[in-house]
Amino acid sequence: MPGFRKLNAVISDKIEWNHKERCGFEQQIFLKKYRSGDVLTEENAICDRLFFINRGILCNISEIDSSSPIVTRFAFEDHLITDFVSFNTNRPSISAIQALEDTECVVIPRSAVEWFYNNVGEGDKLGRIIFERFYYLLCKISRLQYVKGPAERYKLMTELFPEVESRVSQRYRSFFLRIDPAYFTRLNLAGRV
Amino acid sequence: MPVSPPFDKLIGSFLSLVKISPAEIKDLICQLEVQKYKKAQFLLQEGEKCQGIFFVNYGFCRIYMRVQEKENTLHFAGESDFLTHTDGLLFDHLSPYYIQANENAEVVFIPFHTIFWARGHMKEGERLVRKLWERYCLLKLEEIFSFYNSDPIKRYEELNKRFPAIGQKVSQKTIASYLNITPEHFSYLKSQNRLLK
Repeated sequence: MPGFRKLNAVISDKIEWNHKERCGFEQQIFLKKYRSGDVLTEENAICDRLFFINRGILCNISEIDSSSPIVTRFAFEDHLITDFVSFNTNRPSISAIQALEDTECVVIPRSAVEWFYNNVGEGDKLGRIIFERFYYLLCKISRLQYVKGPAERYKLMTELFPEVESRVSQRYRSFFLRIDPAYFTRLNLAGRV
Repeated sequence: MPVSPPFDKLIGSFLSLVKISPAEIKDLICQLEVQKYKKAQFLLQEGEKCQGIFFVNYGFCRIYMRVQEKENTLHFAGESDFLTHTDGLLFDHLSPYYIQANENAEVVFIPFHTIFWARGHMKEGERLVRKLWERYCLLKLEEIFSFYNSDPIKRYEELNKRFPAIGQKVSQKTIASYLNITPEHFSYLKSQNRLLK
Protein backbone atom coordinates (compact mmCIF):
# COMPACT_ATOMS: atom_id res chain seq x y z
CA MET A 1 0.00 0.00 0.00
CA PRO A 2 1.50 3.40 -1.00
CA GLY A 3 0.79 4.96 2.41
CA PHE A 4 3.03 2.38 4.07
CA ARG A 5 5.95 2.83 1.68
CA LYS A 6 7.99 5.13 3.92
CA LEU A 7 7.49 2.95 6.99
CA ASN A 8 8.47 -0.15 5.01
CA ALA A 9 11.60 1.59 3.76
CA VAL A 10 12.60 2.65 7.30
CA ILE A 11 12.09 -0.90 8.60
CA SER A 12 13.83 -2.55 5.64
CA ASP A 13 16.80 -0.26 6.17
CA LYS A 14 17.29 -1.78 9.65
CA ILE A 15 16.25 -5.44 9.39
CA GLU A 16 15.70 -8.26 6.92
CA TRP A 17 12.05 -9.24 6.64
CA ASN A 18 10.16 -11.19 4.00
CA HIS A 19 7.01 -10.55 1.98
CA LYS A 20 4.83 -12.70 4.26
CA GLU A 21 5.98 -10.84 7.38
CA ARG A 22 5.44 -7.48 5.70
CA CYS A 23 1.91 -8.39 4.55
CA GLY A 24 1.00 -9.75 7.98
CA PHE A 25 2.10 -6.49 9.59
CA GLU A 26 0.36 -4.28 7.04
CA GLN A 27 -2.96 -5.97 7.78
CA GLN A 28 -2.84 -4.58 11.32
CA ILE A 29 -1.90 -0.96 10.70
CA PHE A 30 -3.77 1.89 9.04
CA LEU A 31 -3.37 5.38 7.65
CA LYS A 32 -4.96 8.42 9.24
CA LYS A 33 -4.89 12.15 8.53
CA TYR A 34 -5.11 14.91 11.13
CA ARG A 35 -5.53 18.66 10.90
CA SER A 36 -3.11 21.07 12.52
CA GLY A 37 -4.12 21.46 16.17
CA ASP A 38 -5.87 18.07 16.40
CA VAL A 39 -5.21 16.03 19.53
CA LEU A 40 -4.50 12.42 18.50
CA THR A 41 -4.44 10.96 22.00
CA GLU A 42 -5.46 12.67 25.23
CA GLU A 43 -3.42 13.17 28.38
CA ASN A 44 -4.49 10.83 31.23
CA ALA A 45 -5.96 8.32 28.77
CA ILE A 46 -4.35 4.99 27.90
CA CYS A 47 -2.17 5.46 24.82
CA ASP A 48 -2.15 2.11 23.02
CA ARG A 49 -0.76 3.11 19.63
CA LEU A 50 2.37 4.33 17.90
CA PHE A 51 2.28 6.97 15.17
CA PHE A 52 4.72 6.89 12.28
CA ILE A 53 4.73 10.26 10.52
CA ASN A 54 4.48 10.22 6.72
CA ARG A 55 4.03 13.97 6.53
CA GLY A 56 3.65 16.69 9.18
CA ILE A 57 4.69 17.32 12.78
CA LEU A 58 3.47 15.87 16.07
CA CYS A 59 4.47 16.65 19.64
CA ASN A 60 4.08 15.27 23.14
CA ILE A 61 2.37 17.93 25.20
CA SER A 62 1.26 17.98 28.84
CA GLU A 63 -1.17 20.31 30.59
CA ILE A 64 -2.48 21.32 27.19
CA ASP A 65 -5.34 23.42 28.60
CA SER A 66 -3.17 25.39 31.00
CA SER A 67 -1.59 28.77 30.31
CA SER A 68 1.83 27.17 30.06
CA PRO A 69 1.70 23.68 28.52
CA ILE A 70 4.85 21.56 28.55
CA VAL A 71 6.14 20.20 25.25
CA THR A 72 8.62 17.38 25.79
CA ARG A 73 9.28 16.29 22.24
CA PHE A 74 8.72 17.18 18.60
CA ALA A 75 8.52 14.48 15.92
CA PHE A 76 8.86 15.03 12.16
CA GLU A 77 8.67 12.89 9.01
CA ASP A 78 9.84 9.27 9.41
CA HIS A 79 9.74 9.51 13.21
CA LEU A 80 7.72 7.35 15.58
CA ILE A 81 5.91 8.95 18.48
CA THR A 82 3.69 7.78 21.33
CA ASP A 83 3.29 8.35 25.06
CA PHE A 84 5.81 5.64 25.76
CA VAL A 85 5.15 5.33 29.50
CA SER A 86 1.47 4.64 28.87
CA PHE A 87 2.16 2.46 25.82
CA ASN A 88 4.64 0.34 27.74
CA THR A 89 2.92 0.10 31.13
CA ASN A 90 -0.75 0.53 30.24
CA ARG A 91 -0.93 3.38 32.75
CA PRO A 92 -2.74 6.66 31.90
CA SER A 93 -0.57 8.81 29.69
CA ILE A 94 1.37 11.78 30.98
CA SER A 95 1.19 13.64 27.70
CA ALA A 96 -1.22 14.19 24.85
CA ILE A 97 -0.10 13.92 21.23
CA GLN A 98 -0.97 16.94 19.13
CA ALA A 99 -0.54 17.77 15.44
CA LEU A 100 1.34 21.02 14.75
CA GLU A 101 0.77 20.82 10.98
CA ASP A 102 -1.70 18.91 8.85
CA THR A 103 -0.28 15.43 9.37
CA GLU A 104 -0.57 12.00 7.80
CA CYS A 105 0.41 9.04 9.98
CA VAL A 106 0.58 5.30 9.92
CA VAL A 107 -1.18 4.22 13.13
CA ILE A 108 0.36 1.11 14.72
CA PRO A 109 -1.77 -0.40 17.53
CA ARG A 110 -0.04 -2.10 20.45
CA SER A 111 -1.35 -5.47 19.26
CA ALA A 112 0.49 -4.94 15.95
CA VAL A 113 3.73 -4.22 17.80
CA GLU A 114 3.32 -7.39 19.86
CA TRP A 115 2.56 -9.33 16.67
CA PHE A 116 5.70 -7.87 15.10
CA TYR A 117 7.91 -9.05 17.99
CA ASN A 118 6.40 -12.53 17.93
CA ASN A 119 6.14 -13.13 14.19
CA VAL A 120 8.90 -11.19 12.45
CA GLY A 121 12.23 -13.00 12.68
CA GLU A 122 14.20 -9.84 13.37
CA GLY A 123 11.38 -8.06 15.20
CA ASP A 124 13.28 -7.75 18.48
CA LYS A 125 16.30 -6.43 16.60
CA LEU A 126 14.22 -3.57 15.18
CA GLY A 127 12.76 -2.86 18.63
CA ARG A 128 16.24 -2.78 20.11
CA ILE A 129 17.50 -0.33 17.48
CA ILE A 130 14.48 1.96 17.93
CA PHE A 131 14.85 2.00 21.72
CA GLU A 132 18.60 2.62 21.53
CA ARG A 133 17.94 5.74 19.43
CA PHE A 134 15.00 6.81 21.55
CA TYR A 135 17.14 6.54 24.66
CA TYR A 136 19.82 8.67 23.08
CA LEU A 137 17.21 11.34 22.26
CA LEU A 138 15.89 11.21 25.82
CA CYS A 139 19.40 11.67 27.22
CA LYS A 140 19.79 14.81 25.12
CA ILE A 141 16.41 16.14 26.27
CA SER A 142 17.31 15.34 29.85
CA ARG A 143 20.62 17.22 29.59
CA LEU A 144 18.86 20.24 28.17
CA GLN A 145 16.85 20.53 31.38
CA TYR A 146 19.96 21.40 33.32
CA VAL A 147 21.10 24.17 31.02
CA LYS A 148 19.92 27.49 32.38
CA GLY A 149 20.80 30.08 29.72
CA PRO A 150 17.98 30.52 27.16
CA ALA A 151 20.39 31.00 24.25
CA GLU A 152 22.22 27.77 25.02
CA ARG A 153 18.94 25.92 25.54
CA TYR A 154 17.69 27.22 22.21
CA LYS A 155 20.86 26.06 20.47
CA LEU A 156 20.52 22.58 21.97
CA MET A 157 16.88 22.43 20.91
CA THR A 158 17.74 23.24 17.30
CA GLU A 159 20.51 20.62 17.35
CA LEU A 160 17.99 18.05 18.57
CA PHE A 161 15.26 19.10 16.15
CA PRO A 162 16.89 20.88 13.18
CA GLU A 163 13.57 21.73 11.51
CA VAL A 164 11.99 23.23 14.59
CA GLU A 165 12.95 26.80 13.75
CA SER A 166 11.39 26.83 10.29
CA ARG A 167 8.30 24.71 10.97
CA VAL A 168 7.23 25.07 14.61
CA SER A 169 5.61 28.23 15.93
CA GLN A 170 7.44 30.40 18.42
CA ARG A 171 4.73 29.63 20.97
CA TYR A 172 5.37 25.87 20.86
CA ARG A 173 9.13 26.38 20.87
CA SER A 174 8.71 28.40 24.06
CA PHE A 175 6.61 25.56 25.55
CA PHE A 176 9.47 23.16 24.87
CA LEU A 177 12.07 25.50 26.33
CA ARG A 178 9.80 26.31 29.26
CA ILE A 179 10.23 30.00 28.66
CA ASP A 180 7.24 32.31 28.99
CA PRO A 181 6.07 33.07 25.39
CA ALA A 182 6.19 36.84 25.99
CA TYR A 183 9.74 36.61 27.38
CA PHE A 184 10.67 34.39 24.44
CA THR A 185 9.44 37.08 22.02
CA ARG A 186 11.55 39.70 23.79
CA LEU A 187 14.61 37.44 23.61
CA ASN A 188 13.91 36.79 19.96
CA LEU A 189 13.58 40.50 19.18
CA ALA A 190 16.82 41.16 21.01
CA GLY A 191 18.49 38.44 18.90
CA ARG A 192 19.46 36.43 21.97
CA VAL A 193 17.99 33.14 20.78
CA MET B 1 18.96 -23.98 37.18
CA PRO B 2 19.72 -22.45 40.61
CA VAL B 3 22.27 -19.63 40.42
CA SER B 4 24.27 -18.77 43.52
CA PRO B 5 25.31 -15.35 44.76
CA PRO B 6 26.64 -12.96 43.63
CA PHE B 7 25.00 -13.54 40.24
CA ASP B 8 21.59 -14.78 41.39
CA LYS B 9 19.85 -11.38 41.43
CA LEU B 10 21.07 -10.38 37.98
CA ILE B 11 20.20 -13.71 36.38
CA GLY B 12 16.83 -13.63 38.17
CA SER B 13 16.22 -10.19 36.71
CA PHE B 14 17.08 -11.44 33.20
CA LEU B 15 14.91 -14.54 33.63
CA SER B 16 11.95 -12.30 34.46
CA LEU B 17 12.33 -10.87 30.94
CA VAL B 18 13.26 -13.84 28.72
CA LYS B 19 14.01 -17.57 28.72
CA ILE B 20 17.68 -18.45 29.14
CA SER B 21 19.03 -22.00 28.99
CA PRO B 22 21.38 -23.36 31.70
CA ALA B 23 24.23 -23.47 29.16
CA GLU B 24 23.62 -19.83 28.23
CA ILE B 25 23.57 -18.83 31.91
CA LYS B 26 26.90 -20.58 32.41
CA ASP B 27 28.45 -18.82 29.41
CA LEU B 28 27.01 -15.49 30.51
CA ILE B 29 28.30 -15.72 34.08
CA CYS B 30 31.84 -16.42 32.81
CA GLN B 31 31.87 -12.92 31.33
CA LEU B 32 30.63 -11.01 34.40
CA GLU B 33 32.71 -9.40 37.08
CA VAL B 34 31.84 -8.59 40.69
CA GLN B 35 33.08 -5.20 41.88
CA LYS B 36 32.94 -3.66 45.35
CA TYR B 37 32.96 0.07 46.05
CA LYS B 38 33.33 2.00 49.28
CA LYS B 39 31.04 4.88 50.09
CA ALA B 40 31.86 7.93 47.91
CA GLN B 41 33.99 5.92 45.46
CA PHE B 42 33.32 6.42 41.78
CA LEU B 43 32.17 3.67 39.45
CA LEU B 44 32.59 6.10 36.55
CA GLN B 45 33.82 9.69 36.25
CA GLU B 46 33.29 12.49 33.77
CA GLY B 47 35.62 12.14 30.77
CA GLU B 48 36.02 8.37 31.14
CA LYS B 49 34.72 5.88 28.63
CA CYS B 50 32.03 3.69 30.12
CA GLN B 51 32.84 0.06 29.31
CA GLY B 52 29.71 -1.68 30.54
CA ILE B 53 26.59 -1.82 32.68
CA PHE B 54 26.56 -1.95 36.48
CA PHE B 55 23.89 -4.03 38.20
CA VAL B 56 23.54 -3.16 41.90
CA ASN B 57 23.58 -6.24 44.15
CA TYR B 58 23.47 -4.16 47.29
CA GLY B 59 24.19 -0.57 48.23
CA PHE B 60 23.02 2.71 46.82
CA CYS B 61 24.45 4.78 43.97
CA ARG B 62 23.65 7.91 42.02
CA ILE B 63 24.34 9.44 38.62
CA TYR B 64 25.14 13.12 38.58
CA MET B 65 26.63 15.70 36.28
CA ARG B 66 28.23 19.08 36.72
CA VAL B 67 26.69 21.92 34.74
CA GLN B 68 27.95 25.44 35.19
CA GLU B 69 29.78 24.42 38.40
CA LYS B 70 26.57 23.00 39.84
CA GLU B 71 26.09 19.37 40.75
CA ASN B 72 22.85 17.93 39.35
CA THR B 73 21.75 14.51 40.53
CA LEU B 74 19.87 12.84 37.71
CA HIS B 75 19.15 9.39 38.99
CA PHE B 76 19.43 7.11 42.02
CA ALA B 77 19.86 3.34 41.88
CA GLY B 78 19.33 0.78 44.65
CA GLU B 79 19.32 -2.99 44.83
CA SER B 80 18.63 -4.71 41.48
CA ASP B 81 18.82 -1.48 39.49
CA PHE B 82 21.04 -0.95 36.44
CA LEU B 83 23.45 1.94 35.90
CA THR B 84 25.48 2.92 32.86
CA HIS B 85 26.35 5.65 30.41
CA THR B 86 24.84 4.21 27.26
CA ASP B 87 26.50 6.63 24.86
CA GLY B 88 29.64 4.58 25.53
CA LEU B 89 27.88 1.58 24.01
CA LEU B 90 26.25 3.36 21.10
CA PHE B 91 28.57 6.13 20.06
CA ASP B 92 31.91 5.68 21.77
CA HIS B 93 31.34 9.02 23.57
CA LEU B 94 33.09 9.87 26.83
CA SER B 95 30.89 10.10 29.87
CA PRO B 96 29.56 13.52 30.90
CA TYR B 97 28.32 11.85 34.10
CA TYR B 98 29.70 10.62 37.39
CA ILE B 99 28.41 7.38 38.88
CA GLN B 100 29.15 7.31 42.59
CA ALA B 101 28.46 4.88 45.45
CA ASN B 102 26.52 6.65 48.20
CA GLU B 103 27.05 3.73 50.55
CA ASN B 104 29.24 0.63 50.35
CA ALA B 105 28.06 -1.20 47.28
CA GLU B 106 28.53 -4.46 45.42
CA VAL B 107 27.80 -4.44 41.71
CA VAL B 108 27.92 -6.99 38.91
CA PHE B 109 29.70 -5.46 35.93
CA ILE B 110 28.38 -6.52 32.51
CA PRO B 111 30.89 -5.46 29.82
CA PHE B 112 29.37 -3.98 26.67
CA HIS B 113 30.99 -6.77 24.64
CA THR B 114 28.84 -9.21 26.65
CA ILE B 115 25.75 -7.33 25.46
CA PHE B 116 26.93 -7.86 21.87
CA TRP B 117 27.70 -11.50 22.68
CA ALA B 118 24.18 -12.00 24.14
CA ARG B 119 22.57 -10.59 21.00
CA GLY B 120 24.49 -12.98 18.77
CA HIS B 121 24.73 -16.13 20.89
CA MET B 122 21.69 -16.37 23.18
CA LYS B 123 18.46 -17.61 21.65
CA GLU B 124 16.48 -14.72 23.13
CA GLY B 125 19.46 -12.37 23.46
CA GLU B 126 18.13 -9.74 21.10
CA ARG B 127 14.81 -9.77 22.97
CA LEU B 128 16.61 -9.43 26.31
CA VAL B 129 18.59 -6.41 25.14
CA ARG B 130 15.48 -4.84 23.59
CA LYS B 131 13.63 -5.20 26.89
CA LEU B 132 16.55 -3.72 28.82
CA TRP B 133 16.49 -0.71 26.50
CA GLU B 134 12.73 -0.37 27.02
CA ARG B 135 13.31 -0.34 30.76
CA TYR B 136 16.00 2.34 30.37
CA CYS B 137 13.70 4.49 28.25
CA LEU B 138 10.96 4.20 30.83
CA LEU B 139 13.27 5.26 33.64
CA LYS B 140 14.60 8.16 31.60
CA LEU B 141 11.12 9.39 30.73
CA GLU B 142 10.03 9.21 34.35
CA GLU B 143 13.13 11.18 35.26
CA ILE B 144 12.35 13.82 32.61
CA PHE B 145 8.72 14.18 33.67
CA SER B 146 9.70 14.25 37.31
CA PHE B 147 11.95 17.18 36.48
CA TYR B 148 9.12 19.00 34.69
CA ASN B 149 7.12 18.60 37.85
CA SER B 150 8.89 21.62 39.27
CA ASP B 151 7.23 21.36 42.67
CA PRO B 152 10.08 20.04 44.85
CA ILE B 153 7.62 18.73 47.44
CA LYS B 154 5.96 16.47 44.88
CA ARG B 155 9.33 15.39 43.51
CA TYR B 156 10.47 14.52 47.02
CA GLU B 157 7.30 12.49 47.60
CA GLU B 158 7.91 10.54 44.37
CA LEU B 159 11.54 9.96 45.32
CA ASN B 160 10.50 8.70 48.76
CA LYS B 161 7.98 6.36 47.24
CA ARG B 162 10.69 4.76 45.11
CA PHE B 163 13.42 4.79 47.79
CA PRO B 164 11.70 4.91 51.20
CA ALA B 165 14.92 5.29 53.22
CA ILE B 166 16.66 7.76 50.95
CA GLY B 167 17.08 10.29 53.74
CA GLN B 168 19.40 7.85 55.50
CA LYS B 169 21.30 6.89 52.36
CA VAL B 170 22.35 10.22 50.87
CA SER B 171 23.09 13.71 52.13
CA GLN B 172 20.57 16.56 52.16
CA LYS B 173 22.79 18.34 49.66
CA THR B 174 22.47 15.42 47.23
CA ILE B 175 18.71 15.27 47.62
CA ALA B 176 18.53 19.04 47.09
CA SER B 177 20.55 18.67 43.88
CA TYR B 178 18.05 16.07 42.64
CA LEU B 179 15.14 18.35 43.50
CA ASN B 180 16.94 21.19 41.73
CA ILE B 181 16.78 23.46 44.77
CA THR B 182 19.48 24.80 47.07
CA PRO B 183 20.37 22.87 50.24
CA GLU B 184 19.13 25.91 52.19
CA HIS B 185 15.74 25.75 50.49
CA PHE B 186 15.58 22.02 51.23
CA SER B 187 16.36 22.63 54.92
CA TYR B 188 13.73 25.35 55.03
CA LEU B 189 11.06 23.03 53.56
CA LYS B 190 12.00 20.39 56.11
CA SER B 191 11.88 22.84 58.99
CA GLN B 192 8.41 23.88 57.89
CA ASN B 193 7.31 20.20 57.98
CA ARG B 194 6.42 20.47 54.33
CA LEU B 195 8.40 17.38 53.34
CA LEU B 196 7.85 13.82 54.44
CA LYS B 197 10.01 12.80 57.38
